Amino acid sequence: MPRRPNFLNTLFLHFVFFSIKSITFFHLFGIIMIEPNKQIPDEEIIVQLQFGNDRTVDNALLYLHRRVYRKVVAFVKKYKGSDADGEDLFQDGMVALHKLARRGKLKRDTNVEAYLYTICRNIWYKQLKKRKETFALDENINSLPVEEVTLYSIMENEKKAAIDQLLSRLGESCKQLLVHYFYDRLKLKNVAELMGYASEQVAKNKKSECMKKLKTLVAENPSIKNIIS
Amino acid sequence: MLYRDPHIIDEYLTGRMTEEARIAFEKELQQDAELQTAVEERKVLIAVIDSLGDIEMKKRAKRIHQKAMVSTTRVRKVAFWKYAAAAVFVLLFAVSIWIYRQPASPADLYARHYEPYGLSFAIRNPASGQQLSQASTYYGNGDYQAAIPVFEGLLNQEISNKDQVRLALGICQMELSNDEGALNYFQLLIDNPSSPYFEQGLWYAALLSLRSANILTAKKYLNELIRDEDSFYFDDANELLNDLN
Repeated sequence: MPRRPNFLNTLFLHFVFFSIKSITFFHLFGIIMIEPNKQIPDEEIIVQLQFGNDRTVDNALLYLHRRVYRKVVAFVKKYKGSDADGEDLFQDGMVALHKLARRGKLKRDTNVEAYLYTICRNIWYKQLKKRKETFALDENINSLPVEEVTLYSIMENEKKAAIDQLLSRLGESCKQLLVHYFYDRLKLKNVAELMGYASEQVAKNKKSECMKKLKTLVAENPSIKNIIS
Repeated sequence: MLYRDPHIIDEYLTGRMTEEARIAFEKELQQDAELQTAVEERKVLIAVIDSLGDIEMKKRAKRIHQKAMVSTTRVRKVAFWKYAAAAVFVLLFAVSIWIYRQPASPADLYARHYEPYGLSFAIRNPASGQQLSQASTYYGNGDYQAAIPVFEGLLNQEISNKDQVRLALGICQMELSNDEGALNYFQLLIDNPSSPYFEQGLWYAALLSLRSANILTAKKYLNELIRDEDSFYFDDANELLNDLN
């Protein structure tokens, strides 16, 4: 049998390599086991957290979860915590990061993964301090940058329950509207779109009604002021 | 009177006003006691909504956590012949990669891993605060030449976050290709394992060594970093070490 010339062998190898490279094989056969873990620039994540809708915010947080969660759990376990503590702490960290972003407190050049890790570390130090646990690196708390936000994790369970109970009387649509406007810092125009109101003016009127309702509820339950202060 | 409109108070309290409107509002606020009361009342309501928002967001964070934990293990059932085809293709692909893959150069690895550290200073002392803020702005804008003298001035003052300033100076020197100057600052952090910027010192010293193709020294710093599994740079250091080996 005649031998194939060398250059044909080389050509064949090149052909195989480039054909395989050009096929997204896993998509072709529908075998997607783990979503691709591509790197997303910090600025893009910060913009999504600050201005994005629910879906894009969740995606940004999901991305950060994949990159930082394990580190946070390892840190908590090192400092007198369990896996469950780490899980809870990381969720508090996501809440705090989202809140900071929504209020425009995150600079565009922030290393967002390191920042989220620092937030979690800070919350954990505070929790340990509250439990009167001693721990190393105490003096470093002051150099951590997340003190301007009242962190959810600091709120005790009974306080959360009291707020939940009080606001359940506000009605679902009022709750949603007020959270969109005051907490998510959405524009009235976007609130109207999300809530299915005919116009921005309708959203404004609704907001006014809901705030009156809330004012009455707070007046009937003056203890709520102590809970949130 | 216009300012007592609750919607305008809301805009003020949620930072939605223009700078001009905010100044006018605050001027009115100083003189109008009724407006002050109205603002205080509104603050309480907004704080309640804030707490509610936290509770709702925590529920969302829980869902995100569950989704993240599930998606890392999700596998779809596929027919045997598809597995076989996949195996053949993967094998061919791996062989091709093995044939064609060239080890990455130190310069490539450096470019892949280096980025200036994102600094965020907590300002407590008004005297040093202004300098800190000015230096941060220079740093953030990439004007490292201008940032250096301001940061150096801060080191001579009584400030709590000197190590953060040292890290910033190291990065500035690194950006200006003054390797020796950069290493001096990183070394100060490395010499103090209780410093909150100890890990950063090791990481950037490793990258600095990598940039000057000093692989052995880079490995020394990276090995130090992977001694602590909780280190923020643990994964990055491991990956870099694997690339270097």
